[in-house]
Amino acid sequence: MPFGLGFFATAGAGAAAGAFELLETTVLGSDVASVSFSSLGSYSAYKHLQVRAVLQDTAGAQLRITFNNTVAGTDYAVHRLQGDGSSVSTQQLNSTDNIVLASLPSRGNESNTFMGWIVDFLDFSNTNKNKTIKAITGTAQASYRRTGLYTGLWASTAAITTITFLVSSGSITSGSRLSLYGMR
Amino acid sequence: MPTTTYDLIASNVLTTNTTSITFSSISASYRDLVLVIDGAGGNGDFYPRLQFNSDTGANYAWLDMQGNGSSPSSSFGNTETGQQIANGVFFSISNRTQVIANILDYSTTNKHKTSISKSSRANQVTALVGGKWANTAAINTIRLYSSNGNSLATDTTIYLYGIVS
Repeated sequence: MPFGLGFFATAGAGAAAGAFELLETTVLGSDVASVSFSSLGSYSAYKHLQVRAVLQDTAGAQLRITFNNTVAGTDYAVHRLQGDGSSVSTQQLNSTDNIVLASLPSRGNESNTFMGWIVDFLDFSNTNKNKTIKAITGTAQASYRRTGLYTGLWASTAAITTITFLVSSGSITSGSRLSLYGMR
Repeated sequence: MPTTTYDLIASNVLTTNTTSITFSSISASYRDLVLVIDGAGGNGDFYPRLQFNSDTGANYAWLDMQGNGSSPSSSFGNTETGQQIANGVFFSISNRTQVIANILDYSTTNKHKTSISKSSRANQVTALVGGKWANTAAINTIRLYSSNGNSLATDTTIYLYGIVS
């Protein structure tokens, strides 16, 4: 799965189904605790989903992901490889109640600077596999720098019907944008 | 109704060594841009940088994470005159290099412009770079060049895609 590349779709393809299609977009008009994409069973014709986002938090809190409104203590795991402009670190978190990604930039530091995210949800509707995600990110605020590569696990063979992006504290700020794409 | 989303905006296959490539009059109708570069250095090592809307001021910031098979490292730049997209992963004459630069929310007018770029030079190094252009203007021009003035080689391909949102 290429990072953020997807499949080519020629402009003006007309009625033919594209391989990479926009499904939904949310641009926040106010600060919110979480953003969910629901009823994803209606997108079962797609193999994978991708969320492309620019995000910011009121308090610089951690971005997290849950599926199907499941917040249970042993269902999630993540591996993180991150750079902060000085050093590279890696972490492994097992048996958590959500997929823990990275801290978001705080609006209080630079109100116009958001953090880019490209998150792939692979085989999201397959009922024979535990669910895997892959994410890349980057932000270059003067006071908060982060780039990272993440892989997450949801230890469930259930089809993903809801994806929730939430933060550990504060709120995802107004102006943040999340777009959901389907890949065939 | 799903929307066909991933459009090829412009393509370049170099027929001669070229020191810079400019995409201009970029439509504001997309949400993200994706710049895909595959090639080699022409007259020497090519250190790719982007400039947006002809901004040559010290308005670009970046940080990276890279690995060379021996040790990982991370560094940053805060007030640069071009957007770093592949720190340490320059285009050399003898090894092919690939860069995929995602420029998110490029056409908004209330955000600094965020980029996430992945790059690799065959058999040598790979990097992930986060970038910021400290300007809220919509991007309508992108110039690709090398910080040392060198050129990209003949047959290097540069494709610009737009993603609808």
